Amino acid sequence: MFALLRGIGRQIGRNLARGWLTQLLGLITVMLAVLVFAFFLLLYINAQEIGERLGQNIQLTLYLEQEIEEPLRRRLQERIHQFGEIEEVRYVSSRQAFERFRRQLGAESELLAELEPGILPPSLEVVPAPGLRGAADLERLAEFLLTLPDSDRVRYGQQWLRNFTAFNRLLQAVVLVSGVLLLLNLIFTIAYTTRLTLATRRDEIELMRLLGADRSYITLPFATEALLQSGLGAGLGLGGLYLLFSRGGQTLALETMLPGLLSPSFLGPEIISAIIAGALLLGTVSSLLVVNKVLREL
Amino acid sequence: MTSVIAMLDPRAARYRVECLKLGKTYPPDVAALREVSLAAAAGELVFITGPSGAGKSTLLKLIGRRELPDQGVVMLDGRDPARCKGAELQALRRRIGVAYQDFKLLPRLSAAANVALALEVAYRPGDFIRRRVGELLTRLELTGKEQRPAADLSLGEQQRLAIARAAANHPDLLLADEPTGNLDAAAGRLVLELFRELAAGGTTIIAATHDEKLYGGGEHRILHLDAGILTEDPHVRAA
Repeated sequence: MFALLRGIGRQIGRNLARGWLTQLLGLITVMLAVLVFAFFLLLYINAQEIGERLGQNIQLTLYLEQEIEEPLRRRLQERIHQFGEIEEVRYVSSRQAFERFRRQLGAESELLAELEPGILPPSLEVVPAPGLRGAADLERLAEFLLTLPDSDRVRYGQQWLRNFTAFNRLLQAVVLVSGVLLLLNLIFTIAYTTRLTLATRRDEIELMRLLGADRSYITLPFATEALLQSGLGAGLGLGGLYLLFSRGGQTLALETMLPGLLSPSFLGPEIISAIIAGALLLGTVSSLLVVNKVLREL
Repeated sequence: MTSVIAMLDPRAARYRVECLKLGKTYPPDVAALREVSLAAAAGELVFITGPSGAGKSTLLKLIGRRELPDQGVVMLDGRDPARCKGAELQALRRRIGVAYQDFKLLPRLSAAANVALALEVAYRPGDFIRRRVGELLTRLELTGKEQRPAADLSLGEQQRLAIARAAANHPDLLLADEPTGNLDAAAGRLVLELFRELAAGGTTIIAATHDEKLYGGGEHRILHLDAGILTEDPHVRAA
């Protein structure tokens, strides 16, 4: 076992001595790929969190054409609850709406002094349950509300929600694409580096085969190199991202985009572990596949 | 018709190497070997002589399982190496030391590292490797050149290095192709002494050579190969 480890160390040393530039370029490529992927993943996760927080305050306001009496109000509330996944339906009369508006204006409430208290329309405020907070669900609910008697119009920041949902979808696609690119990048970079190293050491490997070197003696150094390259590349990529994040990247990337909504958080330990484990696995497997293919050709 | 396998000596296992009716033809129709049979016991030193193109290198390639015969069979310790594959083949190769005619050294590696390679692939301990490499380099008068890249050595030194590597692992069988082709008489004697010592330790040595100074005299067998046909020459058989 010790002899095998020493043999692996010796061969890695020879590989590095001969092809350090290739190895370094491979390492940088893996690092950048992980950094780009992790950056978009970080944006996506934080945007998801923003979405969840915003969802907690979502409510639809159904403006009515006129004040409605208690029996009709109760019937409307029942019908809205029958839509399903509705947390609460509140009736706000014209007078209550005016009063609320006046309170919101605070010191400026004098502006309303000459206005009639009934100027604002009465409304039904509908709070959907957490299961009904997607843009499509809300749109469906809004359409339903408009079919109710005395309904005039519905407001729930649909344009903003639509934009936010589209942005989220875009981020999701970017994360997916950068994930696939990371995957391909890792596979090709490690395979290319291994192939180049094999090409520079072909004579030596042929000779080792003639001298009786077994498969482990030849393949394990390459697998170890790939393991180091992908692990180190992933670690450096994530480290670089953390550095950017902690040095104000969060301000640029998130707070300016969505001010005051969230103090952004970095990737959790599970995600970091998964990225590093995935990089290690992919790197090692692609290296082993290349070495075995070349050994079959010898 | 009796098969070649059936014709094998039932005591085959007592020979380390047994070749029976070996035939090898290279394209388009160059017959390198024709029905060559020979046997060598453990610890035996056998020289195969003959002119260039006689088939000496081909015979060594077939015995060392670098190539497979078109006809006949090679048996090593009673086993057919042609049937060995994968890990078994690699284990067999570790038991055979080969001093190639073109040396097959790694030019950028030091002299010591070239010899050590044969021991490293056999997972020998570090102390043993250092000791054995030092011993062989001293023995073949390569002291002081341990750390020089193989490419910087003279042809004679490279040849001795190739022999040192072949002998490093105390192989059961050592195959040497023109082992003194680039050596002067004194260096040739060093090689012969090393061969004798290895043979005394149980290694079977088969050397293909033109060099009469190498095979003339001593306790060894000399076979003559010409145009792919092997004949044992009683006149040059040593006493």
